[in-house]
Amino acid sequence: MRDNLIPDLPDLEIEEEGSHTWNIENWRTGLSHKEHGPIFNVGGHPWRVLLFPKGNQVEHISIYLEHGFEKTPSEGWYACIQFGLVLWNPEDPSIHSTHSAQHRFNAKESDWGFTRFCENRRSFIPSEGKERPLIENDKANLTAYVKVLKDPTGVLWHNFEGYDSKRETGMVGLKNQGATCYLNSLLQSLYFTNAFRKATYQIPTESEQSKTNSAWTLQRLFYALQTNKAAVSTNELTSSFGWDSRQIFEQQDVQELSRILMERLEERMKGTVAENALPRLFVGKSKTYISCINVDFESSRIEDFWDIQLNVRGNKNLHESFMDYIQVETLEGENKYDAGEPYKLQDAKKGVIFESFPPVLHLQLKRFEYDINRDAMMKVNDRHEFPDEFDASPYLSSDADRSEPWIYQLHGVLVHSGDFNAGHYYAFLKPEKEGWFYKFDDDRVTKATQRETLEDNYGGEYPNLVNGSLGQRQPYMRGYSTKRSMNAYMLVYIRKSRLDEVLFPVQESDMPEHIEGRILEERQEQERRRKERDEAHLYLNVHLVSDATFQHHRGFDLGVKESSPDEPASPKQYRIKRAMTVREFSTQIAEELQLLPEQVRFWLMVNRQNKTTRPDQPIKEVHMTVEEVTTRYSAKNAAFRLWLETCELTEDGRPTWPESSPNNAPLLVFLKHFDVKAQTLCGIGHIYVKKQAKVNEIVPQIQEVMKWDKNTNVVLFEEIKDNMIEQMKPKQTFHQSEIQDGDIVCFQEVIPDLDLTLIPYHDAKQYYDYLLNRTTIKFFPKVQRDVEGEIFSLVLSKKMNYEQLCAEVGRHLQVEPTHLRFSTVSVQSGKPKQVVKRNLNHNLSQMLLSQYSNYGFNAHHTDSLYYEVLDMSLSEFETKKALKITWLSDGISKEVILFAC
Amino acid sequence: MSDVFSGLQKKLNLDDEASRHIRIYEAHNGKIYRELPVDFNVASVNEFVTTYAERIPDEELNAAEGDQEISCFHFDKEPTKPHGVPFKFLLKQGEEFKDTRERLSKRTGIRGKLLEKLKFAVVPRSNLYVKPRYLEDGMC
Repeated sequence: MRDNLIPDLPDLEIEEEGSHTWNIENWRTGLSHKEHGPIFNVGGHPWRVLLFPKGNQVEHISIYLEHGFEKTPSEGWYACIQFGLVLWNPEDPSIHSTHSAQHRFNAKESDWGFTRFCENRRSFIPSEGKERPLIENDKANLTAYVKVLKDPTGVLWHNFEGYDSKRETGMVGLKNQGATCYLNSLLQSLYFTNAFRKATYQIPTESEQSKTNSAWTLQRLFYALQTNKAAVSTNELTSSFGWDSRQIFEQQDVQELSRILMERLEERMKGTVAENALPRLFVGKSKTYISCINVDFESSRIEDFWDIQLNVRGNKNLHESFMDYIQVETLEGENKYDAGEPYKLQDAKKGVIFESFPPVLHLQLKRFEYDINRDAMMKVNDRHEFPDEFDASPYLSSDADRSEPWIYQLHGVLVHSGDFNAGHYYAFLKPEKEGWFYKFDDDRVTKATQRETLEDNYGGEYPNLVNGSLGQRQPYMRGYSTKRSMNAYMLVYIRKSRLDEVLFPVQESDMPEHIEGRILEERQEQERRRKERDEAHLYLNVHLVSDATFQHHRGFDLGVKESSPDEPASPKQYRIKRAMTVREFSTQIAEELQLLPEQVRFWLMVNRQNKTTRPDQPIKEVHMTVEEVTTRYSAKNAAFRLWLETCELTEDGRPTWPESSPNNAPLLVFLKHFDVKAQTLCGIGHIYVKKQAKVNEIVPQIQEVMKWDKNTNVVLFEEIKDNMIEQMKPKQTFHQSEIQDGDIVCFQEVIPDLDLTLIPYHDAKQYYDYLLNRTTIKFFPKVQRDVEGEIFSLVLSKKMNYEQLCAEVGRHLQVEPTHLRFSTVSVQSGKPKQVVKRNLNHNLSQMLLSQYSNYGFNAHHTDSLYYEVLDMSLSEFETKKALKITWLSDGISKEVILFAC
Repeated sequence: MSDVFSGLQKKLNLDDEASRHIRIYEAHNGKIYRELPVDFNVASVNEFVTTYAERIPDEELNAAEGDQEISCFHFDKEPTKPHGVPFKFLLKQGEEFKDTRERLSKRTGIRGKLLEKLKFAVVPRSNLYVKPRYLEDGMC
């Protein structure tokens, strides 16, 4: 019974096995909905059966195996269990129902079993051909066979949920960044070649800490591998190669990549402590020779090698591959070797033999081959065995140094699973002299058994395949194959006698300090940024508009909307704690302005309905926090804007805020000056006016601010919104003029003897209109008769008519405005399109409006024009006609193209 | 049109005598459309035609009684496929075609080998679809 139910699994050792039978009586009456069986011990763990006689929410009997701990098991407890459950009739054991499973029990997955163990109603009636039912007279026996399995790697049946490589193995993996292929395997392998790691650390990189320095990035990567708690990214390193990572693997195979890496590092190591460290580790010598058989003549060349490429096809194991590599070809008959004088053609032997092997031997197995039938690269999945240890001396030449044994021990197996087009790379590495191999599968590091390291990666047929079966579906491959697609493509052997030289421990002190410092700094920086992000909700941005920013402003409203440090007319941005009170903030600002806190107060800026933003009322509740103010007054999602007001102190040190009185309240008014001569508009500052005062009463204030003569005449306008500028009536009161806090009054000096023909905008109203409608037009010369012209831009009003446009352009070009002609600019070709018709009823924006905009796209640019300067005025030109005449100077065979009017 | 003539004179640096013997004509689709006389209004010049100007050849100026001016054009295989620059040509009464060909060469500036490749045909103005009558030496 036991053997059928829980057969021994290959390759897994049994810790202990046992069984337990629970005799159940009074099935229908004595059992509750959920029933626990008695506890029994197997393999040092308590177990019990969990039974739902009426089913766990199904019409079946549900039976599970469960650990028998009173409370939750201790931290990290687990057991790998193969178990079988049998429900049987006590009178007749042949009537039974069985199920079996295997599971890794742990605290999280504490039970495992079968919700539909057997159908509830059928358990009480005899099944076909049987005399008795499964449960007879309310009695049944429930036997559990439990087999506890050894788990040498610690990851048997592990679902890797919450698996921590660092905790389990003390090592971390590398993140899979997609298409990094063998890079991760190679890097891990090099990292665990401790001598290589140390040599890398010895490269001086303090002076060149840049992301393009491969040595520096490699140092950082190794440092991270040594100290990080989680998987490490390789992005920095691949980008330091100057390639996009995908690019690398399209062109290089693992051998080339490793060579490139080594070359770069070797270059860096020149002239340092680590000089020659890499060749000492990885370089061996081989000899290519041709030696004559009958005479004493040999031609040979000794070459360095960094790795050996061995054939897989046709070779059963590593030994055969080596023999294949050093096989001797005999040159004889027609193929005789020309040994030169005096031997001439001779029978000769030709081949390659090794002179020495490096301490760290990299063997490349040629798993990828060109298949001439398919005209494609194919993977060789043939079985190829490699030993844990081998003696390399048979492959050495006869005169090589044999004083030290050439025994090599396997320390790394780099595996590719899949076919040529797609696949997965992982590595088995042995970091210590003695001990376990570990499987490095991207970000996961697990212990690996000897079998997983060796046998599983030989390739070839599945070892215990049942006769006639299709074989197993291959991971990463289409279709079935009897051959395993996962197999080694690179092996790392370390010479046994040199193990201590290669695998000496790398200490923390070996790591370059600047790398450590830099990484720690970066971690702190990350931490700081994270903290800032976490605390962002504690802070608030305040945009502060003041007279200082207003005085830089040249446009509508009180300032530029968006805050920017380069724009003096934009509100100044402050990042303050939400919990700060208004008083604290004003103290901060006062300090900045070198004033007393009493001299500073803030006004709330509100968005008026006409889309302007103006100060509305001063914040009097100075003990409120900024956050409370925003929630009370600020519109949602809008930036929190304040206007900053400062005042003088009286002699006894009190602030001079204007006194408020209900009927004749002081009104806050902003002043702007339109300089008609300079054609500029600029902010001046703020003043207070009395509600019941006449409008022209502010003229003296203006004269004072502008330091103008007392007799200067001033015209006043109110800027209500950008397209609504109204001249103010001087005799009305401010109340009658509907002036309120935060309104803008624009004034303009009346200059009686001003030549109005010289200036385009005569009063503030016109100028405002220009501001609203201004647009920048780029002018290109339309090339004609080799006359070069300049490209220039003009700021113009969209409301200009043709004549005004000509006047502006003419003024710029210093030509007669009447002699100008314009063409629109084609969007597609940038060439002149149509000549702009002279139509005084059209303004500039209409001229530039695409005639074909009906088609849904602009055929010409709306911000540029071609211009040409004509020989005559446009009105005269329009009465003329252009003719193109071809002059036939000699018969008809010679043509000269002429223009005439 | 007289403005155009004087404009041409200025451009080409012609003397008054030469400028008087200039012909301006419009050509469309490889054939002469019309000649533009001196008193022609510039506004009426067609926009989508090629306008040619040439010095009127002396033989035309000194034409004898009975000589006839014809329009000539180039065509490829069929008269419905015209190309090149059309021109006016003077036919002389009783001239042998061999000599006519000689004068054509002089008129057009086509000489030597190129001329040997050319064939000449009479095409009636009214109907381009009739078979052109090719001319041989010795005819007149």
